[in-house]
Amino acid sequence: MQTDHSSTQQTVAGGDGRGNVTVLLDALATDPNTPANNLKAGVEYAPYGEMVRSTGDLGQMPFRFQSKWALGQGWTGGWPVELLDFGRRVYAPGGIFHLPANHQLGIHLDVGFFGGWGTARADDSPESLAMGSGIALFGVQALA
Amino acid sequence: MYARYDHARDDLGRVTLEQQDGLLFQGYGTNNVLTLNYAYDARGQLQAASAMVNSNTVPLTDRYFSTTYDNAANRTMVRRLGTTSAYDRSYTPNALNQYSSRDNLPYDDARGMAPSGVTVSVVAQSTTDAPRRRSSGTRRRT
Repeated sequence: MQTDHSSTQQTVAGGDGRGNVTVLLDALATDPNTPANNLKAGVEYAPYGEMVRSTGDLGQMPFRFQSKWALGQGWTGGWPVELLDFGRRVYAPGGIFHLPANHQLGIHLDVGFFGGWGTARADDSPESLAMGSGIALFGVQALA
Repeated sequence: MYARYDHARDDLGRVTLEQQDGLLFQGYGTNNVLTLNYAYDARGQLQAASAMVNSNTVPLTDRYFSTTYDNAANRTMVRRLGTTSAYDRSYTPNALNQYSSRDNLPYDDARGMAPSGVTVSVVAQSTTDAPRRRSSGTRRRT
């Protein structure tokens, strides 16, 4: 149960069998027999966590793939890309572009670019991205 | 019913088949279960994932994923959102198991869902921090 005290909204999250949060429901719905009225947000995930399809307001759904906190969201090509906080690592399922300010850059399983032209940015971590023309170099940083 | 997930696992506990049904998946057709098939290599690494509809008979070709790995379990190739080599992205790991480079396709296909008969337009953009192509209006079935 998630309660937004500023608007008195209450929502309930539901997930699949692989630990992903996939739906967010209105807990105060007056007509629970009409599912379409109660579904506030829903997501389909690809195997590695990319959002294949979504509906509703994802801003109300902070916990997503593997129930991890979504730090932010951007776009690459036609794909929404999000940054997931795995604790000591930030994972960008569809590619990494730039991180929230002051966030440590760890190992990333994937890299990508806005528009595909090597225009990605990273935070001020020296281990972060070194950009070339269509090629990204980055290191594996052991965060103590 | 908002969403229902049924899983089948092999003897090692790996999910080999997942069926998705309910309101969240009605875009694939009313009462049309979306089936995801997962394949693994001998080391248990996810090798391929495909999405099927119509009782697991009709593939959604732009929902196909496959990955190859080297002996250190680094990715060496990812085929994402397509079944042909045009969707391949190669990865180059170094001796420290760091990825030193990765292919980057110059574009991604636009995808989404919309009711049949609805006109869908795609708007091209070329700025650096915005999507180059994004569907506008109602989404289209993938």
